[in-house]
Amino acid sequence: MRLIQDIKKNYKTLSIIGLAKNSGKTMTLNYLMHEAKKINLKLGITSTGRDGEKTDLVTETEKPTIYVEEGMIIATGRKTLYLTDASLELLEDTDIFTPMGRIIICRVVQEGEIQVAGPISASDMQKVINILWKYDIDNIFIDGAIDRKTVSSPLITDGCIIAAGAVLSRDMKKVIEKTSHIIECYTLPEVKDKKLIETIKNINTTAVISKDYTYEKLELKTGLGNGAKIKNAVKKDTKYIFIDGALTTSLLKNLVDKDNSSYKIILRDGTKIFVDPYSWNNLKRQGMKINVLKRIKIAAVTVNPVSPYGYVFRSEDLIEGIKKNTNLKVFNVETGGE
Amino acid sequence: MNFMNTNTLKNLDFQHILNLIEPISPYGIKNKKNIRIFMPGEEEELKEELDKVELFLKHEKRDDLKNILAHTKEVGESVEKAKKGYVLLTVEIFEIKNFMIQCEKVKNTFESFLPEEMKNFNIEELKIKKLENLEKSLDPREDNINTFYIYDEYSKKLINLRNRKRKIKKEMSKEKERIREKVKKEYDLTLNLKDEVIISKAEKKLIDKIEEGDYLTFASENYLNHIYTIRKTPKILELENKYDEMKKLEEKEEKRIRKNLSKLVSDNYEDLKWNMEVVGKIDLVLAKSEEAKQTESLKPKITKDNSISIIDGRHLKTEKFLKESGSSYTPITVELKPGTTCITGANMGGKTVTLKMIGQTMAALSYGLFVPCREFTGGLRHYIYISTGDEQSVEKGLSSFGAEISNLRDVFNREEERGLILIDELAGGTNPKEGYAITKTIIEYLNEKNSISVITTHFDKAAEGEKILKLQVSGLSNIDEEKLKEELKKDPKRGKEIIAKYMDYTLKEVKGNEVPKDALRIAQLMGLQEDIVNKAKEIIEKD
Repeated sequence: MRLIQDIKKNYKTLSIIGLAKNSGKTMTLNYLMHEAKKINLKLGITSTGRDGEKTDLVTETEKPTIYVEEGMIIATGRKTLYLTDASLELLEDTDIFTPMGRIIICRVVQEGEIQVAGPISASDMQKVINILWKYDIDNIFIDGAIDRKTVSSPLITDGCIIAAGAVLSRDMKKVIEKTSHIIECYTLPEVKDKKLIETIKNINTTAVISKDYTYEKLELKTGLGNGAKIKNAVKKDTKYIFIDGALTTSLLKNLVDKDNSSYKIILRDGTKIFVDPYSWNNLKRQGMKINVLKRIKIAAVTVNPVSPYGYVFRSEDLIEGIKKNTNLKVFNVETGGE
Repeated sequence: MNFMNTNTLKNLDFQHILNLIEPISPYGIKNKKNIRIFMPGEEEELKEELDKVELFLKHEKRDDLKNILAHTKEVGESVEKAKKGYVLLTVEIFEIKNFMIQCEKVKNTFESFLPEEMKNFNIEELKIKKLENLEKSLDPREDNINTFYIYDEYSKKLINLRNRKRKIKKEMSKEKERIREKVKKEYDLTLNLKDEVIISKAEKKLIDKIEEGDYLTFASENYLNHIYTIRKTPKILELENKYDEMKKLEEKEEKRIRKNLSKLVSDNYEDLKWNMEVVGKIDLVLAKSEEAKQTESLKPKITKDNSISIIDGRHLKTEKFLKESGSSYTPITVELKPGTTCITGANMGGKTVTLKMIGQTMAALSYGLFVPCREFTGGLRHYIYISTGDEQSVEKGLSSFGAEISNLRDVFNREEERGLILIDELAGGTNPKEGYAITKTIIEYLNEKNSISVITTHFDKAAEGEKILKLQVSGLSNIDEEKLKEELKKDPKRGKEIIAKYMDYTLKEVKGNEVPKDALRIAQLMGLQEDIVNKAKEIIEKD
């Protein structure tokens, strides 16, 4: 099945996320919009935070703008409307604020380039999604982002597409390793134990949970020493450790040791993992078991073999390298797509 | 100092009340910043304002109104811009159109559901104006919805240009498609979204073939690949030129239309401004009515008299605090006339809170609010001043005594006006002999003035004199002391709360000059070491 058919059916809301700036996210979005047009999908488009500028704010390298087609519904900050090349009918003024002004809902009347700057917080993004559905569309694409502070878009969409690029490292092996690691984290197995899910809902904070689902809540402050504190709370009959927040390398190292890994570590989702791939793989060999409450569905991975810093990988090598570690669709949008 | 200085605002906890007034529209918020303070002589205007608060309190669609106001956006800047002759952006015109629609909703909701008994109330000031011609111009398709675009309906020229643009675009795609097919056929290559193909440098033959061919041209390279793009045929070039030209003409025509609409906005400047003001007024009065509801405040009776009568007045912040800690607030009744009123009485007897209650109630009145008491009758004041003896002026480097005196001097300079002067323990921090002298003099001085002054003091005899009204906190005088002692014994840690429970905070008028000495009694009840209490008693007896 072609990717766009899969998206049409299984990913009513889809976020496109880049693993780094310039990893080809906007190109991927443009590609998907083009594919959607071929099968007459009516699209709603928005983004997390400001995006779609002509030059990337961080590296000042050129970044493709979003090219929108007639009929698409766009949710974007008011100030971006001063600069659009596309012609837009303004439909609705919302009460959702962003650094680029209030979100305004528009319909593309004449195609062209556009900046899209969507909401910052997850709850605002949910509101925008709800508003967009009013406008008789088939799918919503979000130019997304993974961020600790703002909205992690894959969590509020049905799934995501990951854009990985040469920009991640000058060493292609490292690009493959990092990309595969993120894919693994996002798609960690979901907790199936219903009683555990219910228990965690009640606890709602970091805790150690026993076989009989009794638990001890742990008040953790950010900083060092949390690992030891959790480890101290572990008892013989501890079955799960629920971490409500970020899982860092040092924390994870504290929780996993060779003799005593009879328990599972439970996280909210894979975006909370900030562990380097090397330590991750080491600890996995030592018997670490991690489950998540929400698994993120990945529709496909796109690669951009060209780095803005001037080096290039062979597209086929990069694709093959990532494919070795996953069953997902991996392709380069610039060389013709799937 | 005009009506209240910042110290007074703070010491009365009046900000607590102001914070409860929460307009929701940008116009209401702006209006709150310039909230009107009513002065003596403006009693009629104040009555009208209070009638409005009452009207909104009784309005059955108040929630709908709030909802509409919450969705009303700021367009003041755009309207000013149009007035100055600038051409508005499409998004600005869209916002003005939406503002007008919101105004229409406010009008319908407000006017169609006026409370029955208020049908004759004069609401001229709150009437939204209808801007028919502007409305029509912003809705050329008569859709009656809030969307906006420089619609085709605005000009025949625009339709014409847009049609031609579309046609050119179609031809362009057709020509590009033709080339795509050729590229596919000749080189078996598919162009990407950017009309590019990326060819590895290793494929020398293919590169040579492309370089020799007619369809592709070199665009860029990196060290692995050559990138080629569609070679622009004369036909494509011609179409692109035409397209750009049409686009420019279209933008020019759109600008002309926006200019006309901006002019129309400018022509309606006065009415738009009026409507913004009305929305602001409605929003603020609605917020005032909300505050009244929340604080269970009532409509005061306004007179022109120089007197204040508060029945069962409550100091809101103290009341809230007590409620949250599980106790209750005892409402206080006071009648005040020009001249000095002295409040004496037990420590912990709530004298300071009573002063604050009087000031807060009067401030609420001057701000056109309902007042937190069961009944209020009285007239407006030119200013309110409270001295709690703990004001320090850091900037001027004055101690609390210095700051107190400096403030009082400024207040006494306004002797012609009708003020409300509240003084808690005047000169409380200085030596008793001089403190007494200053207090007595000021009590007598203020007693001759037009202002209403209320002073709490511990100094015996400072309040002497027939003409000075003396109020006393009932305190612990009428209680079953054995019962209180027993309760304190059971739970000594809660001494303060238990005494507060037995304390009678009400005020009664007294004629004599004796100031009650409750301090030692309370110290004893609170469990101060017995030797200390006894020694203190001895000293008093010796005196």
